[in-house]
Amino acid sequence: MSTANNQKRENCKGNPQNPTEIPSTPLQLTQKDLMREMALETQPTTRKPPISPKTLKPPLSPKSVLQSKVSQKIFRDDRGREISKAPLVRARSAVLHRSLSRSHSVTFIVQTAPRLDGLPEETIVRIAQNLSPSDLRSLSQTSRSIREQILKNRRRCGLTEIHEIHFTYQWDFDAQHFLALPLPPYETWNDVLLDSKKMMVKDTWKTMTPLTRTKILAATRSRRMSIRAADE
Amino acid sequence: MADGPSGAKKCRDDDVLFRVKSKEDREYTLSKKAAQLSGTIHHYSENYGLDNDEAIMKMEPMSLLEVSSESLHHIIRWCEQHRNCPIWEEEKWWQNERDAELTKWEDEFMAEMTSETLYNLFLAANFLDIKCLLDKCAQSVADMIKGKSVDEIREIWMLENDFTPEEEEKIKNENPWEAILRYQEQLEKEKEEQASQPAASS
Repeated sequence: MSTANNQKRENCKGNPQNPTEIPSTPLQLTQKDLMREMALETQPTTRKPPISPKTLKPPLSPKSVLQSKVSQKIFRDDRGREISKAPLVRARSAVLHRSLSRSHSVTFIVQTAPRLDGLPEETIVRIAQNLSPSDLRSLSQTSRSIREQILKNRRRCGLTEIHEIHFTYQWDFDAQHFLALPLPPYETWNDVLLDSKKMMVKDTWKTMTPLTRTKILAATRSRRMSIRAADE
Repeated sequence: MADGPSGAKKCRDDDVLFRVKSKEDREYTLSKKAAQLSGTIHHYSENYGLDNDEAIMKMEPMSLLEVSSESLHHIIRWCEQHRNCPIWEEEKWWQNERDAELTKWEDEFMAEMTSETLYNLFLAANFLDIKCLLDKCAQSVADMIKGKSVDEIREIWMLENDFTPEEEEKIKNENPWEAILRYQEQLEKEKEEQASQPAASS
């Protein structure tokens, strides 16, 4: 057994009688190479003085690298809620990808939530029903499929009827400026609805100046608020 | 899994238990009263003659192939807590008929959820047609959207911006009235085209 092992070791060292082995030849340097070597030797050294073991710091762990990277931001958890401390990556909800390059820098991609556009239509409609007009507008601008679902269910999402007026009104103007305007002669809730319908489908609305539209919308909104207050 | 907010209601010994099975083939039970909150379970009971206690006690578990064990656990907690509330058909009761204690419990319940759990719970509530939970989940997701910019919403919910730069610019500056009117005009045009097709073919 030991003889066989010795033989293996010998083979590893190389057998001069083996014709397949590449002969070890000394390095042949050209004059150009020699000149380069000499030039390097004569240049002043740019190396830093050796660091004593006491000054060496332990390498940063991936976690602390992440912490140091994120420590400069305003922090939110994976549901967008503000929190006071830097978040630790949650194993349950976060998909973590780490790549280490030669310089030991760490890149994390944190997937914070599942895709919203994967939800069924009914759920998108219910989310829309809980949003203010401006938030609904933002949501409708995020992706094509969500926008189509909101427009398709525009009535249920509150984009038609009286909500549409509210929508337009809050979209473009500051409510406080217009609440003091005189009210049009709306007597009932139905009148408001009828008027809004008229404005929506007739050319009258299209031909109005923006200021006229603004005044009507403002008045309608304040009227709506007063009607609601009376109902309650 | 955690038991959740304090004061949580659980099945009592004298409850008639409804048997359900998650997609991982794990069996769970919930009280008959709690099960009544689900439209899907309600229809299942009607179709399979589970209209009396004896039939329910002898039933085979109902397979919920689209609901994970974790979601089902949360669903049962929710339903048990709301078992004295009106049944599923009564839409929007939860907006009026509620007490402070129940509201507090619901808020604590929702605060436990990570975005992933909430997403799965939302899907499960939709599948089981539990309207009060569906609405609560929608409200929670809406709270995550409120006050955020378009880019922030995209980032939180992993939405891909699939608009062309021209479309995006147009959408940013659009008048909502115009957008809705344009959409309605498009629908009317499609209707007209559909109406004219049979006439043209005949």
